[in-house]
Amino acid sequence: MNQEDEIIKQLKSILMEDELKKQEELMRQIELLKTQLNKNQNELRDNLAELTQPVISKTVQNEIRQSQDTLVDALQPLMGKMVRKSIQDEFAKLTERIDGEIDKTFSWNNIKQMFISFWEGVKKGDLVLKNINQMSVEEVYVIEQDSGLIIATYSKGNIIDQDLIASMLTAIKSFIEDAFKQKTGHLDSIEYDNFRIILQNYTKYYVAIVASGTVSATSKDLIIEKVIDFAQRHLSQSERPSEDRLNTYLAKYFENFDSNINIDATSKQKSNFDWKFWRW
Amino acid sequence: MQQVNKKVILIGNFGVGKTSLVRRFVHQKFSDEYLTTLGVKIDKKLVELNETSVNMLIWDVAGEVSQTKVPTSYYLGAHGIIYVFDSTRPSTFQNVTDDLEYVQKLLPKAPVCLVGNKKDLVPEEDLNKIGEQLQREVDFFTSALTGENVEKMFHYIALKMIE
Ligand SMILES: Nc1nc2c(ncn2[C@@H]2O[C@H](COP(=O)(O)OP(=O)(O)O)[C@@H](O)[C@H]2O)c(=O)[nH]1
Ligand SMILES: [Mg+2]
Repeated sequence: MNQEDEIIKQLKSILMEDELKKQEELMRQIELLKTQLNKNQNELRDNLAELTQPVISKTVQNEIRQSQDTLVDALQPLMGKMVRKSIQDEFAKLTERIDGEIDKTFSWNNIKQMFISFWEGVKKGDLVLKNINQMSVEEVYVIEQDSGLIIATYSKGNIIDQDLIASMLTAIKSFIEDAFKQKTGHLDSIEYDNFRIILQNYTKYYVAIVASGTVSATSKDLIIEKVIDFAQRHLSQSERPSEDRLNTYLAKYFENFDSNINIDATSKQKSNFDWKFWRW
Repeated sequence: MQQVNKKVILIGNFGVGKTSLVRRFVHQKFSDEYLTTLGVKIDKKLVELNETSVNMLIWDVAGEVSQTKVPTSYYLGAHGIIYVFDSTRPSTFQNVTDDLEYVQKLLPKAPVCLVGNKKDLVPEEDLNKIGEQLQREVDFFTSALTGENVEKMFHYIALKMIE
């Protein structure tokens, strides 16, 4: 691996001086943007992301993509697939990091703003968001992708306007996915105050899980596992069960989920730790 | 009684009265704040027909139809289309044919309801002329101000959607 890195480095400096300069310049710009973004974040919070995100995202990504192709194409004949792969990986990592920065700023402002107004407009005060750290699944919706109509729900708090929430969620999802059209990805979670909405996408529908408390990566994984299991068992048949049946199934899946998941999450973390311990 | 859920999109030029029509029809009122960011306002209303109650989720989509800046996906999955124009402004019904063609391509199965709003501002005989001018029959002339034909129009689309 080290040797490979060395080879790439040397090749880059010999063959790709221009590209390197371009790349350095790009990195410099990114760094600059990052510091600027951070510095101005507070005062610009309300509209910065909305104004700058599309431009930054496009320019940065285009430039990276362009130089990626040039670089890879020039090197490939010399070094073959292995180098190509490792260079692509590097670029992927870089792109990911930049995306991460941009997404953070973007989602932070817009989603939050959208959410506050939509949630406050819709909720009837019945949803009690617990102010504790224990994770709790409050609501689960199975929603049809395009129409935003509810296929099945599970609710702890008896929200009155689940239909409306599902529709709004779908609109928000469409809006955001549209804003990042170049990417093939889906929006996979929305955070607001003390809760998080985890979205799990399938072709015809998606599942939204509203969880309160601290949702650790482990609990998130467990939630997703559960959803995948549910989807495989009850949603993948050609003939979908009736809404009532699905609601019953959903309830079965999520009624006692919290207590289990909180235990599970701790024990999983522990076993991770043990494993590391032994390995060292 | 059986209940079905349906998504309805409300489209048409800016200022024709889409939001006012929904407000007339749906009595509950939600914050309009998010509309500016998201470009869509969603309300719901249960319409009771003979044997079915239709739970309508009405997507009031901002912006012009064909050059819209809102995601096309807002239209997708809709079961019914309400196209609204302003009876006092010809510019708002000039593009009816093109706009509807565009939307119907996305939603080939959805019934369409063509609506001339602000009926209260236009004499009856002029309304008839509009009808003749368009290549397509106007299903309703409504007034969001007086409420005339608003309920009827939404019932009509509800019925069409379950046919
Ligand atoms: N006289 C009259 N004014 C209307 C009617 N419907 C809407 N308006 C007015 O037209 C303007 C635009 O209405 P709005 O509902 O915001 O249009 P939208 O952009 O299509 O949502 C507002 O000032 C309304 O008060 C109507 O039927 N009659
Ligand atoms: Mg409006």
